[in-house]
Amino acid sequence: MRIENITALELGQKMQSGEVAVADAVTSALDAIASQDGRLNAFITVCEREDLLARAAEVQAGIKNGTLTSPLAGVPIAIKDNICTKGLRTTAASKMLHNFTPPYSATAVERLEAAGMIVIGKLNMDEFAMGSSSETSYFGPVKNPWDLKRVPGGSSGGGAAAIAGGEICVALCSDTGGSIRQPASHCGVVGFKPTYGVVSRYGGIGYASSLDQIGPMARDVADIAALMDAMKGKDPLDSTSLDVAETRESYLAGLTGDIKGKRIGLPKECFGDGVDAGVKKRVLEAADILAAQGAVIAEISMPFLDYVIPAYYVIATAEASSNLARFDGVKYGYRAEGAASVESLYRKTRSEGFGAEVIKRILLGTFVLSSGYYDAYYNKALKVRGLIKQQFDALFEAYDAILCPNAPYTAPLVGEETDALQRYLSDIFTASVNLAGLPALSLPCGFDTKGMPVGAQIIGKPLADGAVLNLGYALQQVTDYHKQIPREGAAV
Amino acid sequence: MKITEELIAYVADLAQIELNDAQKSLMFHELGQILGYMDVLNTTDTEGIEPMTHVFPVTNVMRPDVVTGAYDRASLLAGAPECTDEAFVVPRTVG
Amino acid sequence: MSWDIVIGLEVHVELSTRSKIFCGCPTDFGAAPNTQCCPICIGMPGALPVLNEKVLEYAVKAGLALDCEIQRNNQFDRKHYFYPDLPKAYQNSQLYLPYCKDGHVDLTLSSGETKRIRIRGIHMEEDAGKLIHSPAGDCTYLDYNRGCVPLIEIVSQPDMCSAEEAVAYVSHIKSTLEYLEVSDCQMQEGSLRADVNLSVKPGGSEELGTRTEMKNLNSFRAIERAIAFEAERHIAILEDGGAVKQETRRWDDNKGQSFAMRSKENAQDYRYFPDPDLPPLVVEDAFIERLRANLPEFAAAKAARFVAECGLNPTDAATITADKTIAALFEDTAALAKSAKEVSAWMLGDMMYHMSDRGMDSGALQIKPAAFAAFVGAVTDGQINRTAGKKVFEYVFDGGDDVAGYIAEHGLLQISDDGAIGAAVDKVLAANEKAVAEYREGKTKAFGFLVGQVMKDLQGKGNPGQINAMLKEKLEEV
Repeated sequence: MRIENITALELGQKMQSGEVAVADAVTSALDAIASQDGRLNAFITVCEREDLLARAAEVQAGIKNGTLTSPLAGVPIAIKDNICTKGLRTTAASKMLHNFTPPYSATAVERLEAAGMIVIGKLNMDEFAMGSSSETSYFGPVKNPWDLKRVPGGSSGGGAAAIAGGEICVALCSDTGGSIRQPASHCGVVGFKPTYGVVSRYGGIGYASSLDQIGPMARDVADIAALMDAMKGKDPLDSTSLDVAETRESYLAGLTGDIKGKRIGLPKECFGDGVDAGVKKRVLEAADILAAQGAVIAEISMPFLDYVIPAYYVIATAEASSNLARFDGVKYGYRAEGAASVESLYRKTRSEGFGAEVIKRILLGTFVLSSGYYDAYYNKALKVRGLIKQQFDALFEAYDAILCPNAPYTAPLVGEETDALQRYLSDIFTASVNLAGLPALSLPCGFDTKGMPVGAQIIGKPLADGAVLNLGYALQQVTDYHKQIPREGAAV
Repeated sequence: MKITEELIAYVADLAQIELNDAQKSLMFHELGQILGYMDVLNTTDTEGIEPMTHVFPVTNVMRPDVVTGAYDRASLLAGAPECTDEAFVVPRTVG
Repeated sequence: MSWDIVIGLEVHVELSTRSKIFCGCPTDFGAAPNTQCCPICIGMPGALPVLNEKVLEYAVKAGLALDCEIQRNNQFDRKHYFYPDLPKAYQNSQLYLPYCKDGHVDLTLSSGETKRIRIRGIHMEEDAGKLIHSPAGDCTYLDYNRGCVPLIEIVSQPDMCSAEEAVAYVSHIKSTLEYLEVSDCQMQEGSLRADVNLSVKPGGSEELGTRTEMKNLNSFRAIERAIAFEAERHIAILEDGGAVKQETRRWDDNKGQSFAMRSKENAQDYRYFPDPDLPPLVVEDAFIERLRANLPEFAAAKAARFVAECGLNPTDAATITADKTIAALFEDTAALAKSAKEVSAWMLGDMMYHMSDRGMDSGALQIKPAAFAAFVGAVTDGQINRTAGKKVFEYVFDGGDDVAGYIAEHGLLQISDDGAIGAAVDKVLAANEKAVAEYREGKTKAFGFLVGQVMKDLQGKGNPGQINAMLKEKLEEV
C-alpha cells in the first residue's frame, strides 16, 4: 500500500481485513516522511522506527484478538506540536519548549490511541499557534506541497502540508482563529473545527482558552467524521467540554449525503472586493453543486464582519498573555543562562525563548488587560463578542449553514505578506466562528488560476457538527478536488 | 488610542519581557497600527449586551472531592531546567 | 494630640478538603516536597482546572456563618503576577463576581462592650507554593505541595481600632470556621493567616489616613505586635510632620519590625479577567438553604446555653466554647458527670495548665468523657480529695479510662474512717506539744500546721473536713 493516496478509513479497513499489516502502514508513513519532509519541513519530531514497530505489533495483536475494532485501528496519525504527547517531545514550535517532554497526553490523543491509532510524529506549526503561514516556527518554515515557494497557511501548516504532501493521511491539530481551516484550504485538504467544547482541550497548549479547539485534518470528510467519533465527548479534565446528547451519536453513521431542503446562506460580505476572483468563483461553484443536490441557497448579510478581527485579536492576545505567562524558565522548558536573580531569569528567559510574533501578541494582550484599558479594550471586545454571537444566532434561525471562503486569497508566496495588520485581516472569515464557538468545515472546492487550492468553509449552528460534516460529505460525493495530489513544483 | 514608548516599556515590564531598541521601535509601529485598527470596537453599539467570556451557558462544572493521586515526583522534575531530587530551583528570591 | 487607629483585615483560610481546589492531588500538610503535585498544580502546558465541589460548599457555609449574602452568580478570575511560588504566573481568585458579600461579626470586648465588624466580602482562591531558601543562601527551592490548596479570603471593612479588636475578630473567625469543620485553622501551619491594613488619623477625624499593608501574619501574637509597631510608626511619622507612604510591608516577627518591600513588588497591575477555563458558578437557593439548615451551634450560642443549662459563669462559658473541641469535651463530659461546674473547673484549671505546659492544642487532647465524668464523680463523692485528684486528673488527661482502678492501684482513696483519722490526730497531738500550746494561746496559725501534719501522717489521703473537725474536737477536749 501507499500512504500518499489512501484515506484513513480505507487503510483501517485493509488492516481489519488483514490485507495490510499495521507494521507496513507505519513503515510506509515513515518512508514517505523520509522522502518528503526534507522539502516540506512538516515535522518537528518523528518517532523512532523501533518504538513505532513495537506499538504496531501491539495494535496488530489487538486487531487480531478483536479488542481493537475501531475503523481507525492501526492508522498512523501525526499530532500538531502544541498538543501534549506523553513521553514524546512537545515544543509548540518554540525555543521556549524546544526540550519539553510532557508526562501526560492530551485527552484527544489518549482517545485516538485507545482506538488503536499510532502517533507517528509531531507537526510543525507557527510558534504557539500564533500565525497564519507556519513561518514563525523555531524549527523553520513549512512549505506548501502544491508550490514550495508558497506558504502552507497556518498555524497548522505542518498538518496540512504533511497530508497534501503524502506523508500521512490524517492529523490532529488546533484552531483558535482558523488555524485548522485556513491551512487545510491552502493545501487542498479537509479540516474541521468542532463546536467549542465537543473535543476536550485538555493537553492542548493553551493559546486563547475561550477560542481554542482541537480538531482533525484529513483527505476527506468521512475520515474527519471517524476521527471525531473517536475523540468527541465530555472529558472530566476539561471544565468547558460539553456533556450533551449531540456528541453521543456517531458522526460517521450520520453521513448520508442527503441535504435536501437544507437552507444555506451565502454572506454577501464574503464575496466582496477584498476577495480574489478565483476564490469567489470556486466557492460559488460549490454553492451550485450543493443546490443541485437539493440545498436551498440564499444571500445573507453578516454586517458584524467589520469588527470580528479587532474583537478576535483583543480576546486572543489577552488570553495568550495570560496562558503564556507560565513559561518563565522555572519548571520546564528553556531557561536563559547567567541570571543572578529571579527577576532577571524571567526577563532573559522570556525575551530569548519567545519569537517576535509571540512577544508582540503577549505585549498586545498585556496592554488590553492593563489597568485603565481593560474596559475600553478587553471588556468591550467581550461585549462585541456577545453581539457577534447574537447575530449568528439570528442567522441560524433562518439558515442551517453558512457557506463562504476560508480566506480571501489562496496561499501567498513565502515572505509576501509583510504587513502585520494585513496578515491579521486575512483571518476575517475564520475567526468569527471561534468567537461564536461554532463548528466549521474547510474543504477543497477547486483551484485558482495559479493552480493553488481553494477551500470552501461550511459553518453550522452550535452542536450541528454532524450536519456540517454531512453537507461537506454531499459535496465530496460529486467532486474529486479532495483526491487531487500535488506534483512537485507545479499544480495540476 | 495613541501608543507611547512609555506605555510599551510599562507593558513589557508587566509581561517580564526585555525589548532591544530595534524591537521597541517595531513594537511601537506595529502595536500602534493594530491598536488604531482596534478602535473600531469603540464605534460599535453594545448597549445592553453582556460581556461574553464563555460562549455557551454552561455552569457549575465541578468534580467530587476525591484524591486521585499525585504524579511521580521524578516525572514532574524531569523537565526542570534546574532541580534537586525533590524541588525546583531558582536563584535566591529575597535578600 | 490623640490619634485614631483604623484597621481592616484580610484573613486567608485554607479549606480542609481532601483534594486540591482544581486537581485530585492530596492536601496533607507536611508531605515531602513536590510529592502532592501533578501537571495541573505545577502549571504545565495544556493542563486545565476543574473545581472541587466541596470548595464551593465549604465556602458557602463559611459565608452563611459570617452572616454574608451569598451571590447567586459568581466566577473565577485570573490575577496575574510573576513569582516562583505561583506556577501559572496567575492565581485563580474572584474579583469581579465574588461568591459572597456584606457580612459581619459581633465581638464582645474585654470591656464587656459589643462591637460589630462588617465583612466586605469573601472570595475563593488557590494557595501558592512554598519557597525554601538553601542553607548556603544562594538559591531557593520550590515546593508546590501547597499550591492549589483551596483558600477563602475574608475581607473586613476598616472597622477595627485596636490590636485587641483585631485579635478578637480573628479569634471569632477561627472559632466559627472550626465549628463549621471547613478548616483546621492551624495558624502555625499557615492554614489561617491575616493581612493587616492599617492607617492612622487625628482623633475624631472623619478622613482616613494613608494605609499600609502587612502580609501573612500567622499568629495572634504577630498580629498584635505588628499592629502596635505599625501604629506607632505611623504616628511618629505624622507627629514629625511627615506623610505615610502607601505600600506593602513585610512583618519580621523575629526582629519585631515591619520593613518596606522593594517598590517593584508594590507595582500592582494584576490584569484580572474572568478565567475562560472555568465556567461560571450559579449557587441555587436550595443549595444555600440546605447548608443553612445544617449549620452547627456556634460559640456564642453554645456559651449562652452552658450558662443557662449548666450554671457556668459567662466568662468560663466563653473560654470553654471558644474552642470547638474543648466545648464538645465539656458537653460530652457534663452529660455524664454529677457536676457540670466541677467539669468546667477542672478543664479551666488543670486541663489548661497541662495543655499549656506541654504546648498542646485541643486537637491533641486524649481525655475520654466517660473517664473524666467518673473522675469528677470520685471528687464530688469524696472518694478522693483534691490533692489526690490532681494526680488522678493527669491520668485522665493522658487518656486513662479506668479511674476507679487507678485510684485503687495507687491507694489514693480518701481516708474517711474516724478510727484511722482519730489515731493519726492523737499521734500528731502527742508529738507536737509546742504547737498545741501555741494554739491554746490563740495562735490559729498553729492549727493549720497540725492539720498538715495529720494529712502527712495519712499520706495525703485524709478527708480534710474530717481531719479539721476531729482535730478541733480533740484540742477543745483537753
